Amino acid sequence: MKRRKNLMWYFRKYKFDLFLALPGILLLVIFYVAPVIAVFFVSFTRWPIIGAPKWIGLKNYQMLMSDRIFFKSLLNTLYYAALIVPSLTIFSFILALILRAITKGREFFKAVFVFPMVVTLVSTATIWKGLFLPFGPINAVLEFLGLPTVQFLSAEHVKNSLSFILIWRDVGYFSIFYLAGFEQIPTEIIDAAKVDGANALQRFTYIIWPMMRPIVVLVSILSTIGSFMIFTLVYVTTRGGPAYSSEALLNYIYDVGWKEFRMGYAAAAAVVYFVILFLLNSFQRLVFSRE
Amino acid sequence: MFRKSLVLLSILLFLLTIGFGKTLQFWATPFVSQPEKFFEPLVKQFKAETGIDVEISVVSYADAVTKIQAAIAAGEAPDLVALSEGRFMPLVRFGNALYELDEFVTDDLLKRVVRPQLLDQYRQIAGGKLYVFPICFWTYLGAINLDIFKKAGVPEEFIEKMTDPNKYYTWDDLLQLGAMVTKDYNGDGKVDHWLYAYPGGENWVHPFLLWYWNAGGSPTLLDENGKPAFNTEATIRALKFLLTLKEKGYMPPGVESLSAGDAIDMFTSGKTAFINNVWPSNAFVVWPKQFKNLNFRLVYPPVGPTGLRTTYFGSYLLAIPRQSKMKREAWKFIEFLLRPESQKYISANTYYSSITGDVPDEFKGDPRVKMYMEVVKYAIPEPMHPAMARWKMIYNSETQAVLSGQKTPEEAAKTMQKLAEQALEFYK
Amino acid sequence: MSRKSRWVVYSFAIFWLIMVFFPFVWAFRISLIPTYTTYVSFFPRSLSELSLVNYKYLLYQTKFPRWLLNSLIVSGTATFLNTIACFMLGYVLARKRLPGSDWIFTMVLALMMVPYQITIISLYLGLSKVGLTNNLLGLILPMSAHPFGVFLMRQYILMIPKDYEEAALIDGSTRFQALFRIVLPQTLPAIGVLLVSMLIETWNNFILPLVIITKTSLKTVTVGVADLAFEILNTNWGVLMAGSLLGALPTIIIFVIFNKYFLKGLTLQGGIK
Repeated sequence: MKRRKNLMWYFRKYKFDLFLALPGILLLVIFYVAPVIAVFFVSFTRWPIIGAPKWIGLKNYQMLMSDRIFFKSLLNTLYYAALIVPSLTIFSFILALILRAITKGREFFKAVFVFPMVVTLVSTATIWKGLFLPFGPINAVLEFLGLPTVQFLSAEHVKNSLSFILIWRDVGYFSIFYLAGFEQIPTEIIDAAKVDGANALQRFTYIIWPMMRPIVVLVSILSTIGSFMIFTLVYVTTRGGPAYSSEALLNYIYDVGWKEFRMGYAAAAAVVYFVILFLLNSFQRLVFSRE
Repeated sequence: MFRKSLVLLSILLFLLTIGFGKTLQFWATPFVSQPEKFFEPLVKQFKAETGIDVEISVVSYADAVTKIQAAIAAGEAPDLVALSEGRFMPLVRFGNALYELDEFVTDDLLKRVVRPQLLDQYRQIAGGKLYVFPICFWTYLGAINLDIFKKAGVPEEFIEKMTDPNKYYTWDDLLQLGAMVTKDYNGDGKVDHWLYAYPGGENWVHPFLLWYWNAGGSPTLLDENGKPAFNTEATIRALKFLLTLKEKGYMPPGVESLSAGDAIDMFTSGKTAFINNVWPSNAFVVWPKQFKNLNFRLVYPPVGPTGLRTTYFGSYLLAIPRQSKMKREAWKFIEFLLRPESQKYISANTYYSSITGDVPDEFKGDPRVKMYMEVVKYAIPEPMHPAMARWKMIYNSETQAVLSGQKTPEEAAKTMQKLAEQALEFYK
Repeated sequence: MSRKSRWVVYSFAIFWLIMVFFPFVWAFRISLIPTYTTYVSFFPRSLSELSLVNYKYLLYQTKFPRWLLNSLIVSGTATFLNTIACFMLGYVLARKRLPGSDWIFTMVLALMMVPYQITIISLYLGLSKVGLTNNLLGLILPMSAHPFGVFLMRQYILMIPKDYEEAALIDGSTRFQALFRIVLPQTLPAIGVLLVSMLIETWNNFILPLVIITKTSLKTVTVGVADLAFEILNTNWGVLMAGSLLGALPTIIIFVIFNKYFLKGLTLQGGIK
């Protein structure tokens, strides 16, 4: 009885706050928290969607361990991340330096550089697929310049080509983050350092870097998450080919889940993916937040 | 105010999406380039006669089975679906998703079907029951670009070998042709035309099978013991031949990632001189209209190293999902499509062969139609094994691996066999 | 800055400008070709080579207009709901009136690190069990709250002093009035940012509509464009390019109009962490 009274009292006291908070909390719990937990449960079952799930314990994980294509797509995904994340972190920094040096028309160039990010990725991917055709416009330009042509979507180059699209798309977007960071560094400090005779390297290591580091962390984490957008790119351009050389893990999960209807197996792959992501993220934070 | 109107608007639109009325949901695969437009007159007439409307949704061949399964899982299956030989067995085997048509089929109708052995095949694989009914069928021919042949100085007798039903050409002839055709014509140091583009980047059923069957491969993809027949002489011969074409430079660069559409684009834009998968609607309707400068001629399929002549046989199969609440109405529409007038309309607009033999009069004297009918006798229907979807992925990706130089034909054949057998585990 | 280095900076900026726009210009050129090919010279010899036939095809003979409408409904509604939910929750978390606010905020932070794509399996299974597949609601609801939105709102409201609110309460207005008359107007810049970035995010969403929608008439424009390539047997690049450009147009228009808000939002994010 007493406890119930407390609950009512609690409810009455925070009526307004609860009313404000509940829609958001409910939506987050239903569509973010619950699916994450559910994926773990599904991964222990065999579930061809039609019919009820059957508990099969760790069997999905055992099968994963001997699945060649799973490992290939896992390696591909890591390759994508290893190429995209550092490139984005570095090139968007450079682009931000350029934006900072632009005095006339900076707002215009900012808008231009962010532009690819605004275009739907599906459209971008479709267009780049056309640009990458064996006799497409890029090869025409290369030929015109007397350079050897490149098969952008061949097994050898396909991962780099797809990564390039994502880098091309996001680099301007992330450079704005850095630019915002630069604007927070008071110019007086830098000027004072100059007067004190600090050279460019010293100014960078002692003033700019410490102030920019949180943004570098932010950009590297956001671009890690962004590199999973590769799913859409692969789906639209190559569907994983040639010979699984561009297949990303999410594409494999999609294929297994929705083409073969092995939801439990796909969930197991998703869980492994999740664990790897979690480790990667923690690693990133550890590296950058070390004092 | 603005917000209120937004909410109102969205509620209104939700109601719209739910929709009312008696409408058959028909999921059509794109056997012609605009299925909705193609079926429009038929649907109109059907509605005028029966009062039943048919709503057509185009579902790509690649996604057809997936989407049907997903819809069944969600309890909202369409009333009528278009499938192909390779695609209906998974639906029959898993979840028993299709409805038996035997109760609808009348003897009268059966008598009108020109290829009754087809129906027998569909029954045989599905344990004696009929789950699909064809409304038309087609075969593939090859085609050559006459302008390139002329420019390359290919002797007339070669063309004769390819187009005369009493003569034949072999894989060696193709290699010879490759040497003649693949050249730098304008002297800029770059090759201008190639022989053939294999659509290596596409996950289609037929490109690999055309060569595999031609090399003596099993029509059903199974050996006499009922096991997958991938680690065979035929696979290795086919892959070796494709690799030779690639290595000798008779195929344009980048074929291992070329989609089927792009490979056809290579032929229609005059980059390649030979193509081996020309279906009738392309030869009769699309190409003459879209590519007025393309001077092409249909040719027979080549004769393979074991002396076999083969090509692909496909049909447009309709099936009724068990979940449908309008099965009788759906069958009515199938019956409507099998009427002589509808069949004539279908043939006249797609040039696919009528399943009841009702063709427009102007077809009778057309030598090209004759060619297509000629190859029917050695055309092989798509394998119907329930594991086809998986097998298709396996043989296509291994062929990609060979074409991109990652594996030898022997290794690829071995991997195909291993993976194909593994895949069977799941289909038990 | 010396003249030389200025020259370098501007020439690089212009180089990247060309890199950014070249694909779209090329796509536009291809979309004006009436036949099924990409093999044409970039510069047309005469105006008669160009035609709007692909756009006409898309608008009159496919369900493209319907896909656009679906995307507008989904993005519009989801963004609207999202902004309200995030604003309200963000406010509560910022003012910490509710016990456990910090605990909830930690959850929000953790969720920001989970790529939602991973949950697509259970999301799909759940939605199909309650009959929300092949239903635009099934697309709208999962996108109606975004951890990032909550985070942004909370951080922004933290910067707004409590004094005005408290003064209003003393003057006898209800908390509801205080929230909507005092706090909301001050949060408008962040709300603008959230609206624009969520509109772009929801418009871009691909995997969710891909798995949830199978009916042609319910597809969103992203899935519709991706499927165009597979729905036509002979790849018709003209139609594909026309579709890609038309499908991207709404977000481009919004960006061109509101780009100041959007860029400011990015700056805000950069400043917050």
